[in-house]
Formats: sequence, C-alpha cells, structure tokens
Amino acid sequence: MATAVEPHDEHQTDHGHDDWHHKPFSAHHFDNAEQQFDSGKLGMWLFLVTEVLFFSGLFCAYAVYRANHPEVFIYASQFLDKYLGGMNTIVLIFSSLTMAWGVRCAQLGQNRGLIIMLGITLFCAALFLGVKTFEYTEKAHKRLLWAGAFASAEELGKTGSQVFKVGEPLPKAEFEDRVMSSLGTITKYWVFALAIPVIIGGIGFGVKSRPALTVAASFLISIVAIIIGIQVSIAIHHAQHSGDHSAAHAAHDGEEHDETEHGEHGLAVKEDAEHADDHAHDQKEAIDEAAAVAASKQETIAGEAMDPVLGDMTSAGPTVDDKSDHDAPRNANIFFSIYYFMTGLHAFHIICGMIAISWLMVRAVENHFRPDYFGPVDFVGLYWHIVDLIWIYLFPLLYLIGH
Amino acid sequence: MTSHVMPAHSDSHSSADNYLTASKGFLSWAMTLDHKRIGLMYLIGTMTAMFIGGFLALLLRAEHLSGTPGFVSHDTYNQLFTLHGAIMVFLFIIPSIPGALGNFILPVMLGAKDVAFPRMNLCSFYLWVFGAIFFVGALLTTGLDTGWTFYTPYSTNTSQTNVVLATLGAFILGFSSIFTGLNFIVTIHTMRPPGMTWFRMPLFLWSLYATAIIQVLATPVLGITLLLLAAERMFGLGIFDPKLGGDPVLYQHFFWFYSHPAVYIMILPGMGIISELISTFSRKAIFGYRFIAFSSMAIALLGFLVWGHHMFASGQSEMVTIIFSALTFSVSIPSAIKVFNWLATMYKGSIVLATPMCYALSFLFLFTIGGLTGLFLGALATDIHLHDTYFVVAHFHYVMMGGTLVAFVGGLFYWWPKMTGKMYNEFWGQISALIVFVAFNLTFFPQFVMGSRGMPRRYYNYLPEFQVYHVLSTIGAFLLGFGLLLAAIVLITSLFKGRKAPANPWGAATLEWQCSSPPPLANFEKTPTVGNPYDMQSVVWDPDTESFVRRGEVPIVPDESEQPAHA
Amino acid sequence: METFRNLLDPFPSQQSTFAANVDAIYYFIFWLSTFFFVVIVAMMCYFVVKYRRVEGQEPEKSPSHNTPLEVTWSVIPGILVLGIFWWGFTGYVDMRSPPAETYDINVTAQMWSWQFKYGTGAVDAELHVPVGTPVRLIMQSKDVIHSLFVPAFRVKQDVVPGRYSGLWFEAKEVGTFDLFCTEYCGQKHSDMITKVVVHATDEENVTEEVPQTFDQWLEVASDPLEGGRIPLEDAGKKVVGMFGCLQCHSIDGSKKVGPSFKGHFGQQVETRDGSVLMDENYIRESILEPNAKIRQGYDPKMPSFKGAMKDEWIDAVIAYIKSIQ
Repeated sequence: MATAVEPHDEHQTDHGHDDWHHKPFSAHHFDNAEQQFDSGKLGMWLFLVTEVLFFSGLFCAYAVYRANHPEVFIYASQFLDKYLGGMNTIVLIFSSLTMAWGVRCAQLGQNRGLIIMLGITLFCAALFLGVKTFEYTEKAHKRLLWAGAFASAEELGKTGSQVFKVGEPLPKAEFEDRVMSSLGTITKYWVFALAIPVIIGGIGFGVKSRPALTVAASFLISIVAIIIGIQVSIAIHHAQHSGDHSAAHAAHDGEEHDETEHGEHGLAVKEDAEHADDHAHDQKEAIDEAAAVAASKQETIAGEAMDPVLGDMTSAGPTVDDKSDHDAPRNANIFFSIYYFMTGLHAFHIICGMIAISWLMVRAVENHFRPDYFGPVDFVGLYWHIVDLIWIYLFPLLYLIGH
Repeated sequence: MTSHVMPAHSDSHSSADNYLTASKGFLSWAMTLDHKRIGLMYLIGTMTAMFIGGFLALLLRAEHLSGTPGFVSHDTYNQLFTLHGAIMVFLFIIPSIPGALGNFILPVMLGAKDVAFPRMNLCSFYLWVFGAIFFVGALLTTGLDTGWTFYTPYSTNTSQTNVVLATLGAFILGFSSIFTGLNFIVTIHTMRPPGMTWFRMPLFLWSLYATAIIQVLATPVLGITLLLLAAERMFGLGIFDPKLGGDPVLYQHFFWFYSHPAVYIMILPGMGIISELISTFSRKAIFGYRFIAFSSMAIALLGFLVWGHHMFASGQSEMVTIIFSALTFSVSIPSAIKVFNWLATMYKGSIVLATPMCYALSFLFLFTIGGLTGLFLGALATDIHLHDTYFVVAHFHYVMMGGTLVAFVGGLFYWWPKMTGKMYNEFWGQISALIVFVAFNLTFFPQFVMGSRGMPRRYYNYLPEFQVYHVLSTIGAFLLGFGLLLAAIVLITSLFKGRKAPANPWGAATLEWQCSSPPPLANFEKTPTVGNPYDMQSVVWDPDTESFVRRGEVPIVPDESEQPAHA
Repeated sequence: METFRNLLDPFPSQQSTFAANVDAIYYFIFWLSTFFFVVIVAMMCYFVVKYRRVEGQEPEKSPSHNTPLEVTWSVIPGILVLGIFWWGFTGYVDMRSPPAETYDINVTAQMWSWQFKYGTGAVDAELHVPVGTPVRLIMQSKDVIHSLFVPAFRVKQDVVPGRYSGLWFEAKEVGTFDLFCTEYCGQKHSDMITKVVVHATDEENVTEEVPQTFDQWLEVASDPLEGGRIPLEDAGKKVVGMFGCLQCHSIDGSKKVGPSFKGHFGQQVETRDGSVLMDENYIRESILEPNAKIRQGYDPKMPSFKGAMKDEWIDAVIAYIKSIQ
C-alpha cells in the first residue's frame, strides 16, 4: 500500500521552468513540495480509515458473538497465553516508539539514526511474528482450531468438498513434545532460510549494489528476530508450565501402559499426558511429518493430537444435542474462528508493514530522505501505528477475558 | 483574437499534442499515468461489461416469454440472473461514472493537471481488470448461482459453483473502487487551483466527492465480509453458518452495510451529471447550488444508516425494523430537493433539447418514478407484501438503470466531444434517447404491476396469470437493448465520420470546456481562470470557431460588469 | 374493458384481515406519488415548451436560489413521508402482534418443498387453515434461507435456518390461494410453490373448491392410512403427496433432482461406493438416512425424514413404490 506516495523519476524533462520540478522526488502534477506532502498525508490517512473499517467488520462480528455467547469467550480465552500476548504488545508498542523516532530522524536529516530506527522496528515486527508462530503451532497441536475444522462436509450440509479438513483425531500424545518438535523443525527451516540474505548479500557485494545489500540486511534482521521470537516464547512457556510439566511426567511414568480410548471426550488436561507406548514409535515419525507440514504451512498444521477439552465441542447445529459432559460451552470454536481470522489478518498487515519498512531502509541507505522530503517515512510510520493500535485492541479483547 | 490567452479554441496548436496523440503504441496506453487515458480505458471496459450484462438480461427476458421451461434450464437461469446482477453492479454501475467519466473529467473540471496519485489510478484500473478476470473465470468454469448478494448459507454450504472465485473477484473490485474514491477525495482537497473554492466547484465534483466518501467508508466492510464468506466456505469458520453456531442474518447486515451505500455510489454521480446537463442546456445557473451540494453530502451520510431496510422480512427484531424504516424515509428528502431544484433550474431558462438534455429529461421522469416507488418499499406494511417481488426489481431498475445508466449515457454524449474531439450525429442521438425512454418504461412498468400482484423475483417458472406482463416486459427489453446499441453506434460512427469538435460546443461555463477538445496532455497550457461554474452569460457563441467562447476574454465584446472601470 | 381493468389492478384479492389496511396504505402512497409525479412531469414538459431556446435571445434574468422555497419543498415532503412511515409502522405492528389465542402450525422449509405439521400429527405439503381463526406459523428451515409468502394474505416472513421465525394471519374466506417461496434458495426455487387451502369451520360454509371442513380434513390427514380401511399403496400415495416427495422424484421413470420411484425396484442399483439392491431396506434407509448410500449420478440433496414420517407411513410409501413399477 505504499502507492500512497508517488515520486516520479522520469518527469524532469517535461517542465523546466521552476525549481520544484528539478528536485529528484517531485511529481510533475503537483505544484510544490507542500502540496505533494499534503496529498500523500491525506491519502495515507484515508487509507488508514479504510483499514480501520476493514477491521471494524471483524470487531462487529466479535461484539455480536460475545454479546450472544459470553460464556464461549470467557471459557475459550483461557487457552490463550496472556504472557505471550502481553510480550507481543510490549514489543509492538516499543516498535511504534522506534518508528516515531525514525520519522523524527528523517525530519532532522539524521540518516544514520533513521536507518538504525527502521532496523529496530523491523526487528520488533519479526519478533512479533516469531511469538505468533509459537502460539499458532501450539494451538494447532492442541486442536484449538476454527469451528469447521472438525466438521465434515456432510455434517454442514455442504454438497461440494469445500471444507478444509484437519483429519481424524489420533490417539492423544504428549503435546509438549510434539509442539517442541514442530517448533524445532520450524526453527530449522528458518535457519536454512538464512541462505536467502546470504545469497542476496553475496550478489549485492559482487555487483556492488547497495540496495541489494540493504535487502539482505533486512532479511537477516527479520529471520533472526523470528527465530529469537520462537525461542523466547518457548522459554516463557516453560517458565509458566514447569509445574504442570513435571506433574504430567509423573502421571506419564505412573500409568505408562494405560491405553485410553480413541477420541474419548471430556477428559481433564493432565490425562492427556498419558501416552500409549506401543504407538510411540510410529507417532514419532508422524510427528516429524506433521512438523514438516507445519513448517511449510505455519498456520494450518495437520496436528494429530486429540484436543484435551475442545475435542468435541463442534457437535453443533440446532438439531444436534450436545452430548459432552464437561463444562465446555457449545460452539466454543467460534472463538477460535474469530481469533485466527483477526490475528491472521493482523499478522498479514505486519508482513506488509515489514515490506514497507524494508523499502524505506533501501531508500534511506540510498540517502533519499532529507528534511524537505521525508513523506514516505512519515506515511509508513502512520501505517505502522495503526497496525500497532489494532493489536492494542485485539490483545485485551482476545487474551484478557475473564481473568 | 488573442489565442495565447485562450487555449480554449486556439487552432495554432496542431492536433499532435492532445492526449490521444501525444504518444503511440500499446505500452503508452497500458502503462499510462494520464487520467484521461485511464478514464477512456475504464470507459471501454465498463461498456463491454454493460453489453455482456445486458446480453444476459435479454436471455433472461427471452426465457420469460413463457412461464414454463424454455430454452434454458433451471440452473442456467439461476446463473444468468446472478451474473447479470453481479456484472452490472460490480463491473459496470459502480465503476462506470466515477471510473470512466469521473477519471476523465474530474481533474479537468477542477483545473488540476492530474489526479493526486496517478499510479494508484492506473492500479485501480488494473484491479478492475483482475476482478473482471475472476468473474469471467467463475463464468467459464462453473458459473455462479448464488444471486449477486451471495446470501449465506446458500453461498457457503449449498451452492456447487465457484463462489470463492467470484467473491475474490468482488473483493478485488472493491479495492479498485476504494482507490478511485481515495484518489478523488485527495485530489479535490489538495489539487484545487487558486480561485477554485469549495463553492465554486461544479456539482458533478460535489457528487463525486460524496460518492468517494462512500467508496472509502463502505467498501472496506464489503471487503472483510467477502473474505469472511470465502473463509466460511473453504474452512468452515462458523460465523455465518447456523450449523456451527453462526448467524446467517449477520451476513446480511454486513453485506447491506456496504451494498446499500453502494446504491448511492451508483446514483450520486448520475445526479451530479444531471445537474450539469440541465444547467448547461437551460443556459441558466443551477438553482439552489448549495442545497444540491449539501443534499449530495446528506445522501452520502444518511445512506449509511438505512441498510436494514433490505431485511424487513428477514427476522431482525421489530424495533430495529421500525427504526430503519423511519431512517429510510429521511433519505428520500435530499433526493426530492434535487428534483425540485432541477425543475426550478429549467424555469425561465433557454432550453435546447440536445441529446444529453433528452437523456437528462428521461432521467428526471424515470428517477422520479424510481424514487416515489421507494416510498412503497420504505413503508413497513406495504414492504412486507412487496419485498422480494418484481415490484422491487422494477423499483431498483428505475433507479439504477433509469437513473444511473441514463445519466451515464447522457453524460457520455455531453463529454464525448471533449473526450474524442468529434461531434456525433445529433438527430440519431435524440432518436436513441427516445427509444431508450419508451422501451425502458415498457420493460419495467409492467413489473410494478406483477410485483404488486405477488410475482416473486428470481423465479424461473411462473404462474400463467403473470404471462402478459412478462411478455410486455420482454418486448420492452429487446427494444431497450436496441436503443442502447443505437446510442453506441451513434457514438462510434462519430469517431470516423464526426466533424471536429470545438472546445466548447454546448456553452457550459465549467473549466473542462476551457481547454481544447480533446484536451492536451497536461490539460491546460496555462492555469485556467476560475469563475462561477454556472455563469452561462460569461460564454457566448462565436460563429468563427463554431464554439462558445469566454466573453470576458474576447476583446471585441467587453463585459463591463467584470471589468472595473479604472482598475 | 373489464379484463383490461383487471390487468392494471395491482392487487390480488384481499383474503386476510390485514389485506385491507395494506391496500389502503398502498393506494394512499400511490395517489400521493401520482400527484407529485404528474406535477413534476407537467412542469417539466411545460418548461421545455415555454422556455425553448430561441437563437440570439438570452434568457431573462431569474434568481438562482430562494431559501424559503427550498425549505418549503424540504419540509412538506418531510411531513408527508412521516405520515407514510407512521401508517406503515402501525400496520406492521398489527402484522407482528398475534392475538393470545391462535391455532399453531409448525412449518419446515427445505429445498424445495414445504412441510406443514399439525398438533394432531398430521403432515401435509399444502397449508390447510380454518377460516376466520387466527393462525400462527412457527417456521424453521432445514437448509438455506427460505421465505413464506402468501400474496392474498399480504404476509411474508423469511425462514432462517438455526432459529424459529413466526408469522400470523387470519383468513377471511374459504378458498385456495398461492403460497410462494420468495427467498432465492437454489435450483428449483421457482418450483417451491404450493397452496393455502382455507377450510370452512362448519358444514354449511363448505364450497365446491374446498369440500371439507377443517376438522374433517384434519382427521383424514392425521391418519393417511385411514385406520387400514384403504389399500396400503393408496395410503402410500397420500403420504408421498403429504411430504412433497414428487418435487424431486418422478413416478414416470424420468430423472429429476432425485432418482425416479419407477423402475429399479428389486434390481441392483449403482451407488457412489458400489452398488446396492433396491429393496424395502434400501428405501427405508434412504428415507431415514438419505446420505448413507447415494445413487450414482445424484447429489446428496435429500433431507432426512427421521421423526417426521411414522413407521407405518414408510411401509405405505414402500407399498406405493412397489405398486408403480
């Protein structure tokens, strides 16, 4: 969406009659720099208005379902990790600060400061995505997915094969191990992805192209930040669940040979630590496969572990009785539909922002910005603040219900 | 004659430097950033879409000659009316006036060199093309049978057609529309030349401004709705699916929150065109300028508050229904104000029935019917009976087609000499207007009657008692198709046979008539002088150039009122 | 002349207690609109003729704005539409406020038939109501959104899946009237039409068109087998009619949405996953669990009739299908 700014490079020949048209980034159809800047700024603000309205549709859906089914939201939000969400909030607020600082640097003509600030902002954005990777992976393995993920096409009355199916629940497994194994694979893929900046950087070094080197640098920053984000999330997760974990292992040791029924409903969380030994080996392979899928798809992991609590909450529909005997409310997966859609769309905006920031970095390294021309930095900054702002609403609405 | 002050009719410039001939080759068009070329490409695109949509409509009407299965099957019929609606709404009516005429005229009328963001403008056109490709993709693979409204759960669960492709197409077209609107708002805010104050803007610009506000504020909601719909269909999100605990009526709220304001995206620019046409061809300043300008803004804002009137029978709560009904009536007032002001403009004018004026008068006739029949649908007790019958079909065709399309064709005839530099055949233009007017009423008036008698819309078969109306309607539809084809032929033949158009053939006082026809690449060689856009007395007929020229700048006829005696 | 007048008459006959009020509002708006429309068009035509352009003659000066006039023509229509709103609103409230004592009928809409269920267990594909009695319909949909519309009663209500929607009316005269689905619901939306049969409540008022009183009809409909007094296949034919089976299944061997009842009984038929013998068991399973074995070349569109169709009625349907082979 960086089209809000339209510098022309090929205009100089048309109009030779005033200074304005000699400047490198002036667009010929504007009369002066002020008009160009004002247009860009108004355009960006209008674009932000459309962004807000775009999300407002989702906030409306959220409001409607929360008003109609408050119990679903209170119940389901306990599965979100507020510490990770809180960390992401801090990271984004900090990135907003560095972005604003960067704009100030651009206004003052401090090019070096601008580049550093953009780099930090990019780092924070990628860190955010790293944490999100952990959260999505963990939830996918716990089968905390959108409402239709477990329903078959026929149950929904769908005559085509449009439903994205997650597959049948397999015997329960050690979530922690599976999640960690998947995350390990994802991390591995990101480490391999470091080849991208190396190659681009190598080419850039070879042909002495500063833009290519800058692109390589922004890739490097992003990938490193994502890996750090994943690892930090794992650490935070372990810090929180160290108690549970040992308990689970104790249970595991005690009841090693118990085999629980396939897809049984209404079990408490700790029972899921039980693991059928004779399946263990096969499943290890399955885990690796799943992890590979996870790495490539990131969001939609075909996890095999049966969800401890939400497993059968999809038996919805006005005609079907809710047979489950635990206290999970009906249709609790609606919460996760909204969760995935809103955070997913927000993550998409983060990615767009990262591309825009990288583009700014390339231009900043090329020394394009100066006190009388810093519009693009300002506009991307505005965009970044709105992305931040949307998260500031998402975090309490999704993570902090009923606590 | 001091031609350097008057680029308007300066023949000293060769035709080589107008925007059409400034550069040649496919790429000079495909990669152009010139708003006039983009407008022209939009014109070709939207007209193509209109004739495809119209062709589908004729197939529908032909099928309805009898109430029993005819030459198309159930499924084909459902696809025909869906694609007719979707193509006409998303590919033709919404982009037509802003995209084609607006893009071409807005900067020139404003006195700017271009829109604020030319690349975004080109991007908008290509998004339109991509959206159209998605629709064609849906058309060629499985068709689309959900109705253009994509109501859930039929669209998410039952339909076997390629709904996702079509919704993504509509999503992309939404962005095309947003970009156009955003561009127009910024252009009007920041690109006005010195002297062009808000209340010197021609009313067409006011209407485009109001339209742009709706485009920017409403379209994102459609975007998110269509994304949710696609996700619902592909993954089973559960938000609109009752089987997963969702609410299909919520979809209708989301959809109409965009699609009702979208009705004003369609009609407001048409009203703007009519304001220009009636004023110019009555050779009189528009009556009640500020009331018309503010009524456009009022319609744009009130238009956001009335979406629920599409759902009176849907089972929304009674209180909501009643509030929406009351708000719906409030939006009828600004439209009435416009109609009265147009009439008052004609009073004591000097009216000439040129082709654009013929279309403008048809508009007045048809839009008045369209607006008044809206009262039947706004009143709750009658709407319950008339909802989803042919009465509704007739009502919105009177507004959308009798309103927007007729205004669009009128505006096209009006600005055609400016866009192409050629004059069309006046006689055949007037004949086309007459045929369109008569045929239109023949097509849609019977639908009011059969709707009142209970003929539901979107029906493939119908009971024998309705046949006579259907037959009348079908005859009218074919005649209407012929009338529009004639209009197209008149315009296209003018490209080859038309005489060269003067700078100002009609005697309008707005800025676009100050530059030559067709305009030069940068619109004005010199920043134009901005005056009252409706000061018709400032332009007089000049037999030498066969054009109207500005009186103030013609030294032979000095106008004392504009020149202080001893300045 | 009479036919011509009939053609222009915008309404079907008034058959419910609301109809007169709805028509009155309609005509009020109609004449008001006609008045304004005629004035506007007459002025337009008059101006075009009176102030046509004369070459070389500039129009005389006239004002370009007049605020009192603008206010006048904003306020007067404003007051008028307020009146229309009020009348429409009160009429609507009547339509949405059923009296305390109503005769309730359950309605199930599904692609593309209606099913009306009565307290006595009677089921029918046509809506039978007693005359002069407030009737309330409690409606649900099995698949997509439908909408129940009876033009003669001036009533309409969408039937949304996942919730009940209600509707009430009181029929004024004995007779049969059209009932349409007015919310687009797929392929055979236009075939989802049926009849409302308004029965007399006593013997004296029965007509030739509707020869039974409501109670008589209800008694028969509650027991299509008529206590075993009629042959099973005749009873089966009635059941098939009651459930609207013939919307999708033909009895002459031709292919509709579903396979025909005629032919194939006792033969192996192709299904999606193999083949199955079309016998009593298969028919029964198809009625209760239609998606268990889908015939080759057909889509799983049939709803389940589990709970709606009694066991002995299924036996009757099987007997009927056998009888038409």
